[in-house]
Amino acid sequence: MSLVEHFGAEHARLAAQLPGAGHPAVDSVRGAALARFRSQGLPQTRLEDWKYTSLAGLEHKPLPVAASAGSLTAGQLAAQAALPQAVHRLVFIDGHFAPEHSFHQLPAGALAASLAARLAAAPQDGLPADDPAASALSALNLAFSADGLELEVAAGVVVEQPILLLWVGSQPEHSTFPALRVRLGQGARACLVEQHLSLHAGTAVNTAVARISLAGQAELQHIKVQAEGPRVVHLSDCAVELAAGARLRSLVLALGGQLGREDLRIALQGRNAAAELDGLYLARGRRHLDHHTTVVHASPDCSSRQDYRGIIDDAARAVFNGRVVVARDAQHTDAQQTNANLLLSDAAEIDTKPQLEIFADDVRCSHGATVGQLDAAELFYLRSRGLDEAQARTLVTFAFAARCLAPVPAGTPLHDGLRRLLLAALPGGEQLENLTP
Amino acid sequence: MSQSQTTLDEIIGKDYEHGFVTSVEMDVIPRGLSEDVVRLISAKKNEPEWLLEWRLAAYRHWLTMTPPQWASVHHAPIDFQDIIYYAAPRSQNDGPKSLDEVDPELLKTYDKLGIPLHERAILAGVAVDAVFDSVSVATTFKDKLAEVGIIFGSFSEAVQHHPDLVRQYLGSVVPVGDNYYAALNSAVFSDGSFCYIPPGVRCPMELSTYFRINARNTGQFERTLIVADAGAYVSYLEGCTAPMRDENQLHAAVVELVALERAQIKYSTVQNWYPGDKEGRGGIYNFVTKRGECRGDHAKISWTQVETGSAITWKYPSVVLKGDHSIGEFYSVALTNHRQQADTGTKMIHLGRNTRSTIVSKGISAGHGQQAYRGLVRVAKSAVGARNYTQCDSLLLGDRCQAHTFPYIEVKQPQATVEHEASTSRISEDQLFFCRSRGLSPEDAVSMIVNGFCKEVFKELPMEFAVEAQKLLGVSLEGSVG
Amino acid sequence: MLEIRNLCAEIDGKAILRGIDLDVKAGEVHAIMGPNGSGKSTLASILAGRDGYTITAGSVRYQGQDLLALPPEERARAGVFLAFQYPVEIPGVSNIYLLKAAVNARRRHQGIPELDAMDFLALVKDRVRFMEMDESMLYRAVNEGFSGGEKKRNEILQMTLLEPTLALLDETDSGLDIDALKVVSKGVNSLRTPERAMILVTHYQRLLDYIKPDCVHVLAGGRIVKSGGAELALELERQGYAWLGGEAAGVAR
Repeated sequence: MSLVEHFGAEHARLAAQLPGAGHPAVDSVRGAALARFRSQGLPQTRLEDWKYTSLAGLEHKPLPVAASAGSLTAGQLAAQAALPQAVHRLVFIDGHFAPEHSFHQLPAGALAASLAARLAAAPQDGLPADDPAASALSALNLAFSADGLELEVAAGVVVEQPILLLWVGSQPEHSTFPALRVRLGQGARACLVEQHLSLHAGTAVNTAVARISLAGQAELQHIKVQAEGPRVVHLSDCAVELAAGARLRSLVLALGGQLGREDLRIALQGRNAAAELDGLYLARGRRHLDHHTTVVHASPDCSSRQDYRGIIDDAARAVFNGRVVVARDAQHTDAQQTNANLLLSDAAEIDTKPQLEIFADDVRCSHGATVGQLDAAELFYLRSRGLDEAQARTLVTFAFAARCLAPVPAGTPLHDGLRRLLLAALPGGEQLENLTP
Repeated sequence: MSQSQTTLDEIIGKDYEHGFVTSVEMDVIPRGLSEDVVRLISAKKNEPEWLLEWRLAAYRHWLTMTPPQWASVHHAPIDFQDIIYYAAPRSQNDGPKSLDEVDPELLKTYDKLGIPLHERAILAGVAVDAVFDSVSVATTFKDKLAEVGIIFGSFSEAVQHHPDLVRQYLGSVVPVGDNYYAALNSAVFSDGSFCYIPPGVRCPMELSTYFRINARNTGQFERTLIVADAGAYVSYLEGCTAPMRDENQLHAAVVELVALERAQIKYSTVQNWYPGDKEGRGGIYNFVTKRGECRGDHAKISWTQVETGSAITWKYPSVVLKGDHSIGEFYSVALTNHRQQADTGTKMIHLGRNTRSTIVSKGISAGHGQQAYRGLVRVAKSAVGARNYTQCDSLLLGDRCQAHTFPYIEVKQPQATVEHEASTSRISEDQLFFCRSRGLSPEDAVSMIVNGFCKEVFKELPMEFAVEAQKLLGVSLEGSVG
Repeated sequence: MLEIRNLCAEIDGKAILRGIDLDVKAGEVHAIMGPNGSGKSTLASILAGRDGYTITAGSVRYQGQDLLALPPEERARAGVFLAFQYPVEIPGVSNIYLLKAAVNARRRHQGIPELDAMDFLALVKDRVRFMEMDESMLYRAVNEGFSGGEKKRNEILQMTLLEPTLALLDETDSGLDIDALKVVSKGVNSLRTPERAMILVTHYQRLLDYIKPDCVHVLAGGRIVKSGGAELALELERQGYAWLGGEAAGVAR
């Protein structure tokens, strides 16, 4: 059975049980999404956007859709979470909301709801339409959309503490389809920390979709940590729309999984919107990590800054494709992009493609990409101060990686938590843990 | 003001100046492409059987291919049956024996283009092979070059007189099925230049080919093959022009360079095919495959191009760095004005140890011009210690032009260093005001700034070409300052 | 403490050191002077263990062991300290991080307990004050964005913390204004004890006004062409290198 047929059969098996099923506003969206996935199938390497990342391996192993949540203990969560002391914590297990592990103290005007609950209560509000610009994987996610987080922060409301959103895979041999929808009203502010983690070492495919919209002057810090298990395939598409004066600070840390693909698509739609994108991919073992960013400057006077860093070791492979599009008449655009890669082993490979497409003239756009090794002068300096070679290498590697944490205020529990995850993921990182920063 | 500035003054306001037509009696075959046409071309050139078979293999392969769609250029589909694949000035049966036998009309044509073929009139130190539509009409300084063992002349002659060399190297860098247009060229190429520099010889003068499209409805499919044997050096120049016509004409050339151990080839192009008019009518489709291979250790191949002409340019002069310590360079200025489109760049394929490559690309877009830099830097696992530096800058003149950058970087070698930088800028009002307050006209100011922007590339050009290139930029920018 | 015998070294096949002989005893301060390109900095780098040099002949013994056989970190832990001519910037690694790792690596090697966070901080802050530096530098990345003078002070700060047995100061005075030079010299002088030795590599006599050497050597063309007491430096200051004639003058041109 092909993968397309497999998911067709899964849909037939599950469609009636999905939340909101039976209501035309819901069924039509899921049906149309399934139809798009059927006609397009999995993305193929002949597509320019998938040139370096093959999903052919998925064809051989159709995994059933996780129809309900597995179980886990509170201790398992606390041990792995980026923010152990979170004030607001929302937990989804195998894509399904787990109220027993979730808590929050969100202020009035900030609403965090489970998609399943909302669909059950108000199916007539339907599902957001499929985005044809996203890959067929997003359509597949929508076809099976059962649950997820809908976060709304009303105009002027500020959520001071970070909201921790945990997507936990508890059962191997399953496909999961988490969905995230975030809407910030005029001038609203929030920080969302999204973390994907697995409590098993088996195979699984996690196909995630996030749709974020920021109204005028809204500010969102969005941190995404991909810390999946070693045999998990993580496929993610996140689209963010920014209205005038809105600001997005995005940080993506890809630290786990067997194959990871992150599509991050930013649309700067109103004047003076600003996006800062930082990313780190840590590819070790036989891991394959692919990051595609697209920043569309659709309006004048917007700015974007991207800094993606990669560490590629062992027989791992990483791909970076950063695309900046400056639309006609989007004058006074300021767009910068850098991509720096450390290639640490003979069998490692990096394919990077920083890309500019410019249709206006009064713009400041630049990009740079580098591929290199640890700096010999830095290593010698550290060794001449008594650090051994392995320590010096780890320290310089960590320093390279940790710069992606710059947008997170130092000294905060969030910064410490992310730093800890980073150290744990680095080879030899444990040696550095006892050193005060 | 400097002399080049005065030159620019004179030039601005002129239109495409090579747009005339030469009336000369032509030997033209009917339109269309078939195996019979391929056989006919081969027969006209009295080619050996192996070459005919080679062409037919290319043709059959071409039939299985589709035109590339990935470049960011737009044009109506080309009707390959509506093209004339062979047009040559009618002459004595076995071609001119010496310059005295060349049709005086042709000599006048090249005089008018500023490329006199009478040796005494020529700039000292440049030997020219003049290609008119499908065939080479004259080669200068041949005998002098032969004294040091250099073979330089038309491809057709080389096939007759040096078949073993041609057979050994033809298609060895760009295989017949490499891409759609290279396959087409392999099937129907009519002439071009061939050059062989023997071991240890430093070519005593610049070699040059001047390509001229004259006949209507013809395609030009020339083939250039340059082989620099161990320790040899050659600097090669290429220039191109065509008449102004409302319909598009196809130019699909293939250039192959082979540099053996410690050999150096410097290949410079000033491409000034007719670009079409301001509304985008007419102009040459310049779909060219250029590739060099550094086969030996310490070999070096350097491409320098100034691309100001053509309606559409699609070319990626590349270097395959096989030999250890070999060097590849690509310096490019591409200008698109009015409705011109260019998708150009390079590929540097690092295979040998300690191979180095440098890419400097300067794109200038004006009017509705569209331009893309498309490049590939690939470092194979075997290329220990490879280094690449790429710099690609775009200068935008006007709010309806486009500039795109598509660099592909693929690295499988942990001891390689690859650096890529790109930037986009425009001429600021402040810069213009400054220049004008010092007495320059806006056009002069723009020309001066543009020339400054291109300096890194121009300094790679041989002297005569550098002056030519500066003039060309001035002409091509005409009408872009508003 | 240090015995250098007929040390010859080259870079990329080019001979830089052509037979250096030098003895440094505990408690001594030696100044090595010489024109640009004479091999002064190469000598310091080789003693600290920098890559890229080929030792073609000779030996270096430090406290009885073969120094050249040790990797740089073991030299450092055994008490050899190089103050770099051009201190390296390491973005992302904070100074205090580096200092703590370095101090504890040395202490482990000496078999004494590592400092806990409190004791370490107290020690570091004391030395920072002594070097007349701002405490905030501890939390900045190593040398990143430091001025030339700050970098050199930072080198001496590290030296006062690591308390080396043999200190090599490579052109530590270059690029310093007079105030910074005084502070740096104060740091260096504070470490002058009968157990410790120092080698100052310098182009100018100026540093030696503040740090009085026991011996001065003139290096030229990869050899020590003249040795003497502190007065030799003054002689060089007055007359340049030309009066030494031959090789020294030749290289100086």
